[in-house]
Amino acid sequence: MNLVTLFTAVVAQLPPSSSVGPPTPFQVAGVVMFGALLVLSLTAMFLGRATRREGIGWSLVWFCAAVAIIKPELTDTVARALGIGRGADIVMYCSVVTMMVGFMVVYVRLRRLQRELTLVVRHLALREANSPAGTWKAGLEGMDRESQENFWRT
Amino acid sequence: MTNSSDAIRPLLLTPDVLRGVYVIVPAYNEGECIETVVRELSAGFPNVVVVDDGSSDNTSSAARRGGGLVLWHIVNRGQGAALQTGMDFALGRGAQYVVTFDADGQHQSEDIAALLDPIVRGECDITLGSRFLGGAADVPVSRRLLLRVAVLFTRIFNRVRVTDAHNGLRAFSRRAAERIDLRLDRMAHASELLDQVRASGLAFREIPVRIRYTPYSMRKGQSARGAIRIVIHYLLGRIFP
Repeated sequence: MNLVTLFTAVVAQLPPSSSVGPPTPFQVAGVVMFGALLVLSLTAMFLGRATRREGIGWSLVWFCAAVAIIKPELTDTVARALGIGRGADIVMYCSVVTMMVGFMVVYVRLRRLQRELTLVVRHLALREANSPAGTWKAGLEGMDRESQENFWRT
Repeated sequence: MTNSSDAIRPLLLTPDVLRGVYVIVPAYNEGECIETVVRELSAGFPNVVVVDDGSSDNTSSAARRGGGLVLWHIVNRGQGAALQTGMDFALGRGAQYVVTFDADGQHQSEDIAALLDPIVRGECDITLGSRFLGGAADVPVSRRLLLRVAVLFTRIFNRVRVTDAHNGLRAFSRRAAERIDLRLDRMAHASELLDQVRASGLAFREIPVRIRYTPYSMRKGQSARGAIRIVIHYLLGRIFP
């Protein structure tokens, strides 16, 4: 089934919008943007650039975002069900939580990367110290300026 | 420990023992004074290992001129990482005792004998230098306040009773050094080290040492802001191991 027909079919199943009328420019721009992201995510998945889980996960996110733009009152329904006043609020809460989790994930990864870098640096230092050739730096410092430049060029 | 009891104990640092002693000097941009520090150490100890932690100045060549063996971190990874590199190197060379010594000239090489003494005698496995045990007369007021706070912090978080939490002069027996695995690269390793000392269950003792406060070492020392950064780094390290 074509993606566009799938999308229109799902939207058609949703309860009717209270604000009837042609889509606003914002809605058009939003749907085009999230639609493009949806297509990108699915393409990446089918091409094997992203795992199945990533592809489906991100597609769902873009799909929900597009639905929320087309039918904003839907978010109000969800918000009321959760005991939050307005739909816009729940969207904001979700983004803040997502961002915080994102920061934490990046922080943890950065730490791991730093740790790994340290292990590499320490390993190099020990290997050089135990090699008869001595350290690069010792070798470099013993050279004149021209030989140093040649060393880095080669 | 009083001076009189020291006097009746014969010195145990025989040439045989000294051969097994490795003095680790982590150094970052210490070209100004490292040569003197290393020369002083080399006069008393055959194995002085300087870990040049990615310095951008002449630290490496100056340390080599002073008679030290130089290990080189290709990029700066912090004092904790440098210490660990030095320890691994020393253990790999068969070190029986490992001493850590700051590069900025604040420690005195004569103090090392007192730190090694109880370890060589098998009375404990780790000795930590303390500038406050000996009266601390020459510690500047700004330093004293900051270090008092650090000691309080250490009692709360590391649950170790020490009088001087962040003294770079320490000595370890081989089996103690083997159990130290510093993962916090930067300055928070001092707290991490105390955690590992406590976890190792090995006996430690504080030994009075003198600190030379020179304009140079004061400039290279920690500011209050630096101390806060260290605390944050240490606490994050405990949350995300």
